[in-house]
Amino acid sequence: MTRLSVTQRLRLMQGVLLLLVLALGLRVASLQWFDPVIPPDYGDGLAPRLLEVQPARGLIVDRNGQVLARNTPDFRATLVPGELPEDEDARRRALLDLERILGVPYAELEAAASSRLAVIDPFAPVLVRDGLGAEEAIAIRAAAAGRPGVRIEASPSRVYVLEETLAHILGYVGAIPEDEAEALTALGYPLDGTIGMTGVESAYEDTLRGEPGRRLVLSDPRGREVQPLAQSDAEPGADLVLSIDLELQRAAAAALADGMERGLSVVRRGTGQARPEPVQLGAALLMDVRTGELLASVSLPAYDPNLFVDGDPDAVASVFTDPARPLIDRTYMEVRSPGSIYKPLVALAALEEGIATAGTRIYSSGAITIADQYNPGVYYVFKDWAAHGDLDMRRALARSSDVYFYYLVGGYQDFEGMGPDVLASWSRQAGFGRPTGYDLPGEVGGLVPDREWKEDEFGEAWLLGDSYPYSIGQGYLTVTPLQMAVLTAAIANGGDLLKPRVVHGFRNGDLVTTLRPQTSGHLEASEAHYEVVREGMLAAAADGGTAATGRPVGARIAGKTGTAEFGQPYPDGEFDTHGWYIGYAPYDEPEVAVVVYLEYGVGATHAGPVARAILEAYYEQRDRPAVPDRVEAAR
Amino acid sequence: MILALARRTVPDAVLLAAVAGLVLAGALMVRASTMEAPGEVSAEAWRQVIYAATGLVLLVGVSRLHPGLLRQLAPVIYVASLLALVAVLALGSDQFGARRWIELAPGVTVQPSEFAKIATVIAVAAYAADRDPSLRATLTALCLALLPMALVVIEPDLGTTIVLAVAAVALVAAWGVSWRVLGGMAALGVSVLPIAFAVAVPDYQRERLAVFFDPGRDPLGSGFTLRQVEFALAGGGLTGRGLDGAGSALDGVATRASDFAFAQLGEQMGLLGAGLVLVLYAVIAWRGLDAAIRAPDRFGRMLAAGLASVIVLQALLHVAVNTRLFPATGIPLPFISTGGSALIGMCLSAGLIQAVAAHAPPPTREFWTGERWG
Repeated sequence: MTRLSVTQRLRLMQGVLLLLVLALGLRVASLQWFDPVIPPDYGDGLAPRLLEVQPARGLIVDRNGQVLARNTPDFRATLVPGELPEDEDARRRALLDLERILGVPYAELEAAASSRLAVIDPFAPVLVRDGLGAEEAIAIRAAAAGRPGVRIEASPSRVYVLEETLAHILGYVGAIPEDEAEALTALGYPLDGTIGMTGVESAYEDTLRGEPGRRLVLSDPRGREVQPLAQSDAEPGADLVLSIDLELQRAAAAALADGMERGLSVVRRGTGQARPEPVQLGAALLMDVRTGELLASVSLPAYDPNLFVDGDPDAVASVFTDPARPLIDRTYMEVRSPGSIYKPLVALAALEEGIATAGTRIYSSGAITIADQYNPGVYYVFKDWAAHGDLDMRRALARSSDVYFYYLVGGYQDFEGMGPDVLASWSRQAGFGRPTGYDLPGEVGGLVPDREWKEDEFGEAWLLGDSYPYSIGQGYLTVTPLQMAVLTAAIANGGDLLKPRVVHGFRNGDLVTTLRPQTSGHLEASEAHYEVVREGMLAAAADGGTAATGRPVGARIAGKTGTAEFGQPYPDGEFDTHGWYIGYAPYDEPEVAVVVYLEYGVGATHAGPVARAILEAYYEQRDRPAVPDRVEAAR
Repeated sequence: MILALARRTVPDAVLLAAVAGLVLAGALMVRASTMEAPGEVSAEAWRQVIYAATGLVLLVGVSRLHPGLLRQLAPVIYVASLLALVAVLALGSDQFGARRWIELAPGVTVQPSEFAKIATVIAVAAYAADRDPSLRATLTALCLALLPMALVVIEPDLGTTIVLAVAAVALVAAWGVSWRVLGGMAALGVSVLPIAFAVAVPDYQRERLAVFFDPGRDPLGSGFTLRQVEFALAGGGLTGRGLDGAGSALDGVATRASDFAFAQLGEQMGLLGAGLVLVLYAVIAWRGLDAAIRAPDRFGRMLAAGLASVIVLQALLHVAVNTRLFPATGIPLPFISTGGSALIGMCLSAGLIQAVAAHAPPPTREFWTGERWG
């Protein structure tokens, strides 16, 4: 070390002393305020107690600021057993009075007053009546004035917008689960507190909750507050700005409900078979292909978002026993066969792998026939849904020819297909077989089959007869509508696999912090090949294509239908079908991708019109004045 | 106006204000913690007020001294303090199992170790005044400090010994001892520590050390005190429980207004009061070392630096004990804890710093001359 002058040396000593004072100051602050050691008993009976002050929970609003979840000043009545008269008769009279005032049966009051908690801490308030409105609360408070043992206090409760299809997205707020109580109280949650359950209420709990404040008070041995010592204010939670547009959500929900109703017509009655009662389900997604934000996300049937807040046991029970399982969000929690909406990916893979070019022509006579690999003389027929004749790749997409795609994957005669492993590899690159990275909890990933998987799963070799259904999105392959939305957006934007989100950003006061788009990968393929697939989907959505039913009047969009067979065959060998539709719009400068799924339905006939209604609503919404400018900030 | 008056009374009015603030806080703390009935002022509180008044008068008086006189008297002061320390061992009265006090008259006791701190600083500063800090000179100076330390540790008074030791280190650092020698001393100190612990640390102190690491060891004795100290600070919270003598977590702790004065004050005046007290010590560190920097000669420099270090380091040690960062040793909080010798000794120290400040040359105006001649 260089030689310091004496003055510098003394300055250094001065600095060291001041730093030491500062360090001890921090220690003192920690012991006195930030992390005080609270005694079990304070000698003279008075004891400091640390009380949490719960922050106001953030609101949830849609992308235009429409409030979807808010807090209401609900009131509740509590009984403080320690304040009731000790004399047996006086106590009974007091409880009888309270029965009249509160409208709570005497037996319940008596039980609350002598509960175990009351024995441990007689001054801990016991809840006897919840959900009081403001007027009722005022009336009770007036009647109970001067009576010991009863308190009326505010208990903020959550109220959700009346739009059933938001229930899955919003989730709800519920009592702290018993098995997590310990961990959560360590985080400052009160034992009788609430926490977000499912949906964004759960996924963005930390943001919505805010920072609890603390109050240090001196209380007497009976637990009564004698003197406040210090207080730090609670930091309210930030508002959550969803990417959902409430109006588009409602339009999508109405269109989907309509489509589901019509789609049920595929179910044939009176066949003499014992078939399970059909349960119609549906999902619809509208996603921004530039950001991954969902403008609408509908899963039907849904349930009232306020169900778990009100807690009416009958209503809750009926949701749990409903065979349609409304608690499941069909957009991402359940998998289905995609059917022909998978073909754009198969086409892209074939182009990239050099299996075919845009000009490769294949003749569809309506079916292909192959001999059994082991039993000569046994033949299998793989049908097309129509005899399309001579097709190139764009036309094959436009007409949704099955035979064309049988060739691309399974091969036929001297045409060599890519085989299941190559298709599986492309499927995984496109994000299938794993969750998309959605910001809501409970996402499933679906199944991408290949030779090895079948070997492991069934102990059987992969057969050519497995490849043909695979090529048209059937067989073992399963996907979620959300994965299809990500793929559709990737086709539109040139390969970015966006992480889908229902949250646009966070709002503190007027300042909105917008989340940045994130991708889970990139579907690498040449722009020329993407262009072929897009043109095929454009042709499909044009007049004469199978997906024309999804196109709004006067619009140019890309589209593709899917109709996937499932379940038990009818006597004539036909099946019930899922109806699918994917598409993006506008074709030339894509903004949104749309996905429609119907448990029962036909792609073109039933899913297409739903997509059209959603896109029409989008166009209409887009032409309205823009939302005021918002501050952009990185997370 | 008060500041203007103070400015005429002493050379450094800010330093005086800091000391006066601490003395006032101490008097309020002692009054509240010895209050038996509401509003009553105990005899101990009255004594503290009298000591405080005496100390402040002495402070102002001493600030008029010329440091040169002190330098000439240094050998006398040093020898007298050593004799007093010997006397306390021979004639002193036992209290709390230690022999630290000499009874001058009935009810009037003096604690010579409190004054030994000042005497040692004066002696080392005088010795070093016309010597350069060679290794040999440094070792001699340290021996000057070791002698009173040895006498104090026998009493036993480990707290004062530690304060003397850190004061000695601060003094040689201010002297300008090379970093190499300082480093060597540090190494020696660390290697000698276990031996010193085995030889010099009394049993009761060892027990306290053990309790420091394991408060459950003696839950009703010194472990109890340590826990109550934390409770007291927690109970004080931000604004404190007030100065009206309300119940305290330190009720029943005999040394609550001396060895645990900081925790007591923190409980009564909260984090705000405790923080203000720390700020006042920071002011003393700032003004004291400023006086050292501006001192006209090496004696003045070392005297001011040494005394300021004694005051502030002792305060820091006390606070460290009170916040469970350091094992419990009886170190009074300067200007605040009960005890006349400590209070008056500390006021004398502050007065001597003032005396050094008084003889500092007026601040030079280099920019002015530069503009004129440059």
